[in-house]
Amino acid sequence: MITAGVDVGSLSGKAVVLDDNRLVSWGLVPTGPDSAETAKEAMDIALQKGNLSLDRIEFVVSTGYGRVVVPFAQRNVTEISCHAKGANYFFPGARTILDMGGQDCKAIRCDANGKVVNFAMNDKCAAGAGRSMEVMADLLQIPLDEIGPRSLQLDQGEVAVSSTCTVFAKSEVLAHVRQGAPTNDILAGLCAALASRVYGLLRRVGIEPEFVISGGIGKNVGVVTRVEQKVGLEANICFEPQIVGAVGAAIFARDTLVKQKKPAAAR
Amino acid sequence: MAALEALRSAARDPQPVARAAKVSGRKVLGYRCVFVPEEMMHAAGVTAFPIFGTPEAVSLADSYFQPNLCEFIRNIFDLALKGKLDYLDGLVLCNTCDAVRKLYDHWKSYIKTPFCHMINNPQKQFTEPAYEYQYRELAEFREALERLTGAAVTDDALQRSIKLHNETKSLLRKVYEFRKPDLPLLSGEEALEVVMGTMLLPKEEANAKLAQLIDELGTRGRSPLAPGPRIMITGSIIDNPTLIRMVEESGAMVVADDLCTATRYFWYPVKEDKDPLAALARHCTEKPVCACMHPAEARLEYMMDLVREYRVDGIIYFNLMYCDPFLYEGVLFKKKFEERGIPMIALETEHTPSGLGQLKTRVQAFLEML
Repeated sequence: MITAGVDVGSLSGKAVVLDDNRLVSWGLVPTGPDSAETAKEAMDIALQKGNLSLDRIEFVVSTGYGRVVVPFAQRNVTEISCHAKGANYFFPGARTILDMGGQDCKAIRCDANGKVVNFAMNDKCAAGAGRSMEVMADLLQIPLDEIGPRSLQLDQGEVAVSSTCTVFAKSEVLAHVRQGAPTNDILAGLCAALASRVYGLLRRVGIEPEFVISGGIGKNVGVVTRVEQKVGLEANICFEPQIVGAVGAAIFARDTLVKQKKPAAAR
Repeated sequence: MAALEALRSAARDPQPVARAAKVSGRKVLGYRCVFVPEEMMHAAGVTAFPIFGTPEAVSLADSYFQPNLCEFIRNIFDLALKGKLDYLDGLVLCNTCDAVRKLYDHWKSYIKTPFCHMINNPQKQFTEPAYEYQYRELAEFREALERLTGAAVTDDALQRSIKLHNETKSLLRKVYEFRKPDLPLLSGEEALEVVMGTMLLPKEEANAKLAQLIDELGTRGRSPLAPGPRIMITGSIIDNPTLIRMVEESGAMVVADDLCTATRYFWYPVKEDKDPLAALARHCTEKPVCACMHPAEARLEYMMDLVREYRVDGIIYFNLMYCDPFLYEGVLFKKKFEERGIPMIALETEHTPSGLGQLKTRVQAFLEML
């Protein structure tokens, strides 16, 4: 049974192909202005890598903020449910999931089947999410993937970045730059601010092991380390944290198909 | 469904109702909120007109109120500054939240309606001192109305008004019965507009419409909703059906609502007592329908009654941004409801609903969780 999940996020589009329970392939592309096009691009990459064509896929579930516009999906499920399901796929013991995406942060609690039992999300502002990290990387002229490692190599000591608003945080960071604060120390402050923000979110739903981090910021070692310190648990992070939601969507696709195929009498 | 449509259209545009009241020659007093006794105004022969906001963006009020203050109050003040509430001869407010209290001061300074009155409700309810204080406050209100109209507000008139308004409340309860079946015969969106329309219309007229609506619903046969989880909406004021429609479009059946524009308005009748002022004072100090009031436990019990009566599967708590009383209460109640096995989600909203995408994702995820 071949199914697919497509996750159109605010910053990247992800597609995953699943053969029963086996992860066949995936595609990852930056989100363009046209969400349907982004979904198609990600799907094409996944299909290519899996040596498949779209007509071989029996059921597609879409998720992410662009979930309603994916033209080849038969059903949509929210990214909250999908991240829980996906985290459960990679780590069956997962009970608390932190998804740090482009414009949303979610703290999710789930049961042994990966079903959501509680969740909390950041409010409208994207401060503390992936987009704010991109803004800062751009401001400080640092490649995105260097932020994490450099934030752990302190020069004089972490500077305080207090603000919870991306626009104000940008002014704060600029002020630090002008005062000659070492870049690494500013990066440390940024990662710490983000970690403390998501920790508040996690505490709202309660933290229970095992702990899983998904989403793009799962690749930022500076944030992950600080979140782990606050939570007091080691975070499980799969080899590609950005595809967790798409994997969850593909599993929902498989489950839907199984239900449909069951003869009515057996239901 | 003529009565349903009539009530809904009154809710959508309060202006014609206000103008009609004006033409009748009666004075029109705008009021907020459910702790202001409409019965008293009715008995005094003036029209009690609930002030609602509009989805229109705030502009003029921004010169007076910071954007981090209650958007509902900013919206009302904005309407007043724009002259859109110029049919009001006066304003009656009561002591619930800071925003309402401060609206009074600004209104008095800048809008200058001929009549302004503030009723101080003691916030610690269910106590004798609160009752005694409330009694004196209402007596003062009665005198203020008598000065305004030049005629006495007699106990007889007050008793008749209480009876009339109790009839309205009892009819609304009957309308809400139609939300109880497995597939409700009245949607959440419709229910909100029915109550808002009822609040706006003269009660004699509203009661006739409600009686007709009950007949209409009795023969409706088909539910306007698709099967889904049974949801109760609560939180800050909602005076526009957009959010409730969004919840129902996401696959829920909204079967109950604890809102100023819904159940809070009609759940508790006033005792029909020989001292009508005493009955009103008891009523005001014994209905635990607002997050501004104390103690929280009483309010929780009232909400649990709603949960049981309407067989609620989950609660969506809409917090208007910067609405302090409900922001505090939401956090507390989420825990309390969950301890009682009722899942709840608290969501932050704006009075002028925009960018519903993120909210919709949260609502949909909550429904998937149930």
